[in-house]
Amino acid sequence: MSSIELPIRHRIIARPRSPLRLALDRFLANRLAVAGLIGMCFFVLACYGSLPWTLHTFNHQDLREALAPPSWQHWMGTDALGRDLLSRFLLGGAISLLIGIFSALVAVGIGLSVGLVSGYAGGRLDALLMRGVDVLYGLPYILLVILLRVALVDRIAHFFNATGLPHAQGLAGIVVLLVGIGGVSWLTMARVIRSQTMSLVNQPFVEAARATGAKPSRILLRHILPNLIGSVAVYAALTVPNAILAESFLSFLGLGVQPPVPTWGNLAASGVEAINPIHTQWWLITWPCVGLTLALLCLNFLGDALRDALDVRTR
Amino acid sequence: MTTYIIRRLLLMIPTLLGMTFMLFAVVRFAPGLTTSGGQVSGGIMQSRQAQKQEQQIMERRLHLVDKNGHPINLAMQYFLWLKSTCEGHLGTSLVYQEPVLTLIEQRLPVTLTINAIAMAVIYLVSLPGGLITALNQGRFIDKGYGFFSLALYSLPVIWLGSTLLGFFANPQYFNWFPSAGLHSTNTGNMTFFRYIADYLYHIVLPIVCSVYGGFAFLSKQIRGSILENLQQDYVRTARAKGLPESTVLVRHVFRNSLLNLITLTGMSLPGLLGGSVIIEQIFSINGMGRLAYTSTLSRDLPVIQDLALVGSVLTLLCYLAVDICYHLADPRVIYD
Repeated sequence: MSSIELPIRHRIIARPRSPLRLALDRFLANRLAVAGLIGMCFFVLACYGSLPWTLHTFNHQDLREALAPPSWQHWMGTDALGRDLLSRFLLGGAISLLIGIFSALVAVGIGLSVGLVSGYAGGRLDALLMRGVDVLYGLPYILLVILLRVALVDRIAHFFNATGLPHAQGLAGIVVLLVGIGGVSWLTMARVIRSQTMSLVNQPFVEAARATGAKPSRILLRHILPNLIGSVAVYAALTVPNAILAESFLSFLGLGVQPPVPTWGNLAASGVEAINPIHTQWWLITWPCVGLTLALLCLNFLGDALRDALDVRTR
Repeated sequence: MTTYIIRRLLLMIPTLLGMTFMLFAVVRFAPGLTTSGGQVSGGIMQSRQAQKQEQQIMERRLHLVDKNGHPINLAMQYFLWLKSTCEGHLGTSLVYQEPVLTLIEQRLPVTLTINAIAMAVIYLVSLPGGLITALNQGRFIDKGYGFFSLALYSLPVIWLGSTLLGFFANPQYFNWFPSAGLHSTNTGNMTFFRYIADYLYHIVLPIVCSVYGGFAFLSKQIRGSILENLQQDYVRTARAKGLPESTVLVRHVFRNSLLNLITLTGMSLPGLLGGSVIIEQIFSINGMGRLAYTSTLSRDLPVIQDLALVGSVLTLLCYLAVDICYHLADPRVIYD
């Protein structure tokens, strides 16, 4: 290939840039994504920064103040037991985000390892693992979470009770949701990682690594994994909002985290009951749902922009 | 091709066995089965002895114990269930005391109607949406559509559903739609078309709820595949030989983009039968989703297992159908 002589000026401007740097530029050029990032930072700071305060007040009941509309004293109003909705909202947000992030981590952990092993090993092991993924794909995921919950929650609550933690039932609900939602969201990830690993394994640089005598573990971790970071980031970012949404569904069905421990899902679910023909307490449903919607919006913008920035196909 | 289909059908057997066994094990390990799972029909009005007898009959029917009342281990339980299923006996619900097939027959049409209409609406919006946004890549309409569809996707359905119900089906605000159920009370003296109209009127809100979140993903996929096709050599060739732009778009770009849709559509077909637990719960619709949900909660084992069986068979058949359709639509794809 013959190189074209460029004027000196162009040669200086056209510095080589790494793919990561290019992706970062594309991401930052997307104003919605930056807005999403800022919004998410705000939520995280507000929800986790206020923990020292909310952990003390979230269950403080004052029946004289029950069902008070928003005022200077209670910015978001109070619920039927006179608990301050703001502190429940903030703690609920912290728990919902925690469930979202940890479920995504569980999903990434399982999906990445299954995909890597399956794509690298091939043959029988690959066929076996992919049949397993097919099996899980066929079962309705909400049913699996419900079954896991039914099977596990009392045992874990019993364990927490034995260790003397307060709100054992609620905490057990959180743990089961983390594991349950994470445990059913890794399937797509495993398939994507597998197909990418399969195409990477045939690349010359992997062959070169193998020729120099590198062990499979080293090839996987040092040569293949770094090439997969993009897809992992995209799928992780898209799993977080889905997990938060799944939590709200399950709470609505009464299968999520049990009150008095708040999450946006169960706050919204108890707010739904407040819509009635006699007297509507709008603040009970509005705040948790606004929080849920805004957080999901920020996360979806983030995930979408990450996909656009890292995925060459949809650009 | 025939060999391929036969091989795929044979491969389905171990997958199905895996699916059903896994669900079987999880369900039977769930606590509360042997003591409270038998929904004893007479309740507390029965004598203790009669209750015990019913419990025993129930346990024997579920193959939990053998004829002499000894417990059977899990693998054997599964084998017995498999045997009776293969002989064509689907179970009988413990809660409704009706065959599972009857329950499915009652609920499937409801779920299927709502989902089919919802899916049609989603495609009718997303296809032109994806096309227009791809052709105007980076312009205002592309960004606006992307923003709007993602914003809709981010609205939690529990909020939108209950708000719609609370305002549009509420005598105090706008009493435009019925709040629950699928028929008016006087269906008996309606003509056929009035009946259909009444039915459609009742499912407007559930359909709105099942539709609004679906645009984002599908439009984005269609947009992506159209953009990908626009960069292909054959599009350049078509333009170079002087074809009008509309022909290039419809015959060369759009048709090839539809290939990607086969996979997406095929994968979403089993979902049509599943039904959304949340939407059916909010609008009090007795569909498949609610059946699966209530039977899981009440440990109605025969229903859970048979629903899962039907669901897995349909899912696997859809996968196979996707692969075959793909081959028919795109002869370049060959399975060995």
